[in-house]
Amino acid sequence: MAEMTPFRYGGFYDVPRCLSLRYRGRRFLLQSAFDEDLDEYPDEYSVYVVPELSDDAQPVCTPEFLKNTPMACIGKIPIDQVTFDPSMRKELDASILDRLISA
Amino acid sequence: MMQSAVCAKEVCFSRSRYTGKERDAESGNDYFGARYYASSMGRWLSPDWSAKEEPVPYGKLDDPQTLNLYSYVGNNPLATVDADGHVAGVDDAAAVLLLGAAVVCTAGVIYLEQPAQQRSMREAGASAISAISGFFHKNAPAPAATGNPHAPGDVPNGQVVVKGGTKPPPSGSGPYSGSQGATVEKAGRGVPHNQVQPTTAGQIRTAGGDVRPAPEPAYEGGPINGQHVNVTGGQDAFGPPQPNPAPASQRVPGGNTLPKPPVPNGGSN
Repeated sequence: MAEMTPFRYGGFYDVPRCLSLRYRGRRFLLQSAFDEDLDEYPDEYSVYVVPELSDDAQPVCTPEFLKNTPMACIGKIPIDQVTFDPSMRKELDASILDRLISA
Repeated sequence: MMQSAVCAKEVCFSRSRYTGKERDAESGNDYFGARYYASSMGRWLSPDWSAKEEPVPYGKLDDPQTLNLYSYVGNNPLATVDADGHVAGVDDAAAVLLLGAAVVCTAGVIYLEQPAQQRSMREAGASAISAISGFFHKNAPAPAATGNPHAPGDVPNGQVVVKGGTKPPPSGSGPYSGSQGATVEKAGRGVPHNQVQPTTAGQIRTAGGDVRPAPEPAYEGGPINGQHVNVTGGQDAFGPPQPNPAPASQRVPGGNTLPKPPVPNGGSN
């Protein structure tokens, strides 16, 4: 069942290429970083758990934050399996993360 | 910044022109980042826009010059310089001021006639701004899907549109991304790819598709990529991949694409 969850993003090409959302008490970062070797954006998101921050409003899809915040990738999800809202810029069905959280 | 010479009509001039902005040799328009300026007309080619949708971006009620989204620095170029293409003034000042005054008066009458609603003058002013904005935007295409920092306006048929990379554009009915510019090189600055597939907005429309301006932040809270467009349909209009003529260092506002986060404790991502 769709569980649409709001997200914030930075960088958009066909889809948001970096986004963060809070789901089941944790903040996740989904990133499809441009691959210089492939000269293409990957067709999948790498999923990271964002360390708890003092300010939940702090942007995470910034060069500074990504460069300075170690995060472990907990898995990958194909972008074409992610259900977005019609604008593709506001909400997504976060239940797709369950397979990674429970794994 | 390196400047190259451009010859047109037996006159040679530097590509860096008015207020140091680069002039497109083919169209004669100056590129300010957020939009193009037509020096021949002394007007912007598209209305001003802001990341947050507003009736009149950067408009101020106490400064009517800011209510026109097509004029340059409020029609005061002797005292002001536009840095990035985001400022507004008033075009056809007399007509617009009359219109603005009429709308403000109308809003004021509405306000005075409805004291019970306790409407503030600020609300009345907002109504006026909305009405004036409607006047300026009445012929502009509707912005694309809400929820993103879309600019009202148009992508002219002659404008080059590139799809980054070598993959064909997505075949679905939903919008996909492209980058617009006066030339392939300029359009190529809006994507990080080394290869681009070029076409024009007109060819996309001829092929049954459409192109809408859709400025996007390069990263969260970062500079706006004013070249980003939403394209629907028209996949057949794009040409074969060719090298992106835009220097890599000049692609995508803000520099590079977002890096991957570092790996904790030497693990691997």
